Amino acid sequence: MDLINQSILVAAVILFISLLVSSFASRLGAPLLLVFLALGMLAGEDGPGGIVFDNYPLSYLIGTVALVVILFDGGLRTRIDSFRVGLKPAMSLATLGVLVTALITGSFAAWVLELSWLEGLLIGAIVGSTDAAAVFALLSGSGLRLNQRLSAVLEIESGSNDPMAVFLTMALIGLIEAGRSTPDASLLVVFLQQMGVGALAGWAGGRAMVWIFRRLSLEGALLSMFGLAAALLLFALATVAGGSGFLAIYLAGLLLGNARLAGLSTLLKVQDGYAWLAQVVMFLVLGLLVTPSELVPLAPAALAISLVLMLVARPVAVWLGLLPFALPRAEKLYISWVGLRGAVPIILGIFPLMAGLPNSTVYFNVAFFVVLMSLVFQGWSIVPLAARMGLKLPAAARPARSVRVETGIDSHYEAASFRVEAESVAEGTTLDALALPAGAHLAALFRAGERQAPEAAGALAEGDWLYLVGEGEALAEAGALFAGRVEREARRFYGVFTVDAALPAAELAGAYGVTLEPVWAGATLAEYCERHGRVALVPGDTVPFGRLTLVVAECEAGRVSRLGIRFAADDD
Amino acid sequence: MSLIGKILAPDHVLIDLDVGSKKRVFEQVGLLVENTHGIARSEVFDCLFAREKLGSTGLGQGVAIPHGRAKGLKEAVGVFIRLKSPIPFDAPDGKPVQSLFVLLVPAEATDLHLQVLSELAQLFSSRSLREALLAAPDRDALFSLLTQWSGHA
Repeated sequence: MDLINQSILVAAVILFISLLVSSFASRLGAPLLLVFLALGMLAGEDGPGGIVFDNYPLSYLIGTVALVVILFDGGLRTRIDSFRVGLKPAMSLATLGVLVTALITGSFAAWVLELSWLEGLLIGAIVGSTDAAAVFALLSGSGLRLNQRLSAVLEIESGSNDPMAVFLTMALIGLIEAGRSTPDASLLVVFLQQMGVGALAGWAGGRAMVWIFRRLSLEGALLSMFGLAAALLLFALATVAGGSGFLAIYLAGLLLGNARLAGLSTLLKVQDGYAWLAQVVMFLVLGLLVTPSELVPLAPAALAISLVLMLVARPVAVWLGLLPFALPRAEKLYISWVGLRGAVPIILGIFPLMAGLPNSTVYFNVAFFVVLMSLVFQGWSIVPLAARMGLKLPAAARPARSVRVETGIDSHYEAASFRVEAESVAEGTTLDALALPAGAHLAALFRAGERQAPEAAGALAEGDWLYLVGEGEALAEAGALFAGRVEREARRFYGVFTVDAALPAAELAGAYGVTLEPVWAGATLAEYCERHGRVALVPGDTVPFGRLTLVVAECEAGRVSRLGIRFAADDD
Repeated sequence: MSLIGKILAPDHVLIDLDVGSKKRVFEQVGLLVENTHGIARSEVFDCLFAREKLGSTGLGQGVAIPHGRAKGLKEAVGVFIRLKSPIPFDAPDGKPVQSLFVLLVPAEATDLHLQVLSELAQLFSSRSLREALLAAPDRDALFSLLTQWSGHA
């Protein structure tokens, strides 16, 4: 009894300190996962914490459950329309990319560590996948906004490449155990089975979840618990059936997150908390599990492997994987650098230990070191790098908070709150004069904490709060009225003037003295832009138009609908 | 000196102009430029209106910068107008417009056109300038505000 209580005490203290520290660390811009990993190491046997923890099966269990929660959450948050622009490149990176990464890194590891080729490849496979948790945290937590194509590729890749790495690792362990020295064709069969069954289970499971959720009358927290239970169940079923449970759970999350469900916003909010806790616990445990003093003798070789992975293997894999896709060069470069490794390699590093392979502590420690280096070098640099490479989009004006409104049937209606910011459109404007989007309706107005009757409120002032009810899109549009600085930066980025993309290109050319080639005589601006870019355009893309630069401001149903005009002098 | 100082003359600053529509404003500008630069008022009016048809040149917050390329014009001309009362302008924020900077450039104008537009957009993004323009007592005060604004917030 005492022992258990003490364990709870120790775990609670570590968790508590970690969460406290994380609030400071996020202000320093340190990757949070790195902080948790470091705290785990400090609490462990070589740090001041002095806790001896080397329970690999337990760590594996915690790691797997945490990954299920994180991948499910990642799927829930991935918008299905981002598949339109990101699916194919991401799939190529998630399969071919992982294979190439594993081959190059693995061959180098075999040479530098003087292992057999297959053993080297095992290391390559273990560190082969990018980390969903780290990439999702980067894309949603850091305030960095990338264009839809880039974020879709990174998100879908990281959400779907773990199955490939898991598969390669298991396959290689099998081959090494069987005393083989070269892979054979049976691997391909297993691969197809893993992916096929996993995808099928994910699709069926996702549909089933949506069906059940529609018919359940569970409230808030219970609904989320149910989601979590369903996710774990699906993971287990898919794995038992011989498929990739990770793939299944990501797909199921995707289907559920894109269904019109009444309780979805609550589910997302609570799930977000679960995903955070899962990451924190997982990284803490992995930090505890490693014995830092064992890393020291391996450090030179492991550092070399990390560098080869980051500077050679990943760029080559990305270049090869994206060869068929005409992504802009800057985006390809950025994707090669955002090869963040996270918990998956460390968890995969436990596999050989549990299988009892020779040299298995080497695999684990190298994997750990590679992840550490990736989090330090890549984790720290990807946000500033995006800004330097001109890939950062200005932040979007968003409601402070929004909740789904119960209307009796599934609907898009939400209630959202907005604060009137200084120098916003709304400031100084009366409610009558405020041009709210057609689908957004004022529900309440608060000034200094008191509700105001709208007809008696007069001009809006900074610090007023408005509650609007309407469909999500109208509410998102309304955000621009209340934002100050954010909205000005967006205007600067997209250009001061915008034009309808359905206008003839020749008319805009005429107004600014731009000489167009005769082929564009009858084309609309949308056609001009779409034939100019080699990829499907997304907001933030720029198209040269003589002396002007056109910036895609809005897309509708996959087509450019509004364009901003940026005068060359504004370029930054 | 700023580009704006080069293209704006003191007699091209109109204060408290009392007109009720975009069309009337452009007519007044046509009249003025016809007198000072000897090109047909209809040419001025037409080029401004043609640009407006592509999308409003309203910047929001009560400011607009109508612009166009006028045939026969030898040099870039700026006209600043403060209206007596705001007029509807289809600006992106839906607010009526009271301050307008009209920019006319020769048909063969090059990058100058764009640089001036860019500078104007930058200038009018300053709230204190917008407020100072509305509060200025006379034409001279408006002129020096526009040409000597140092860009402090």
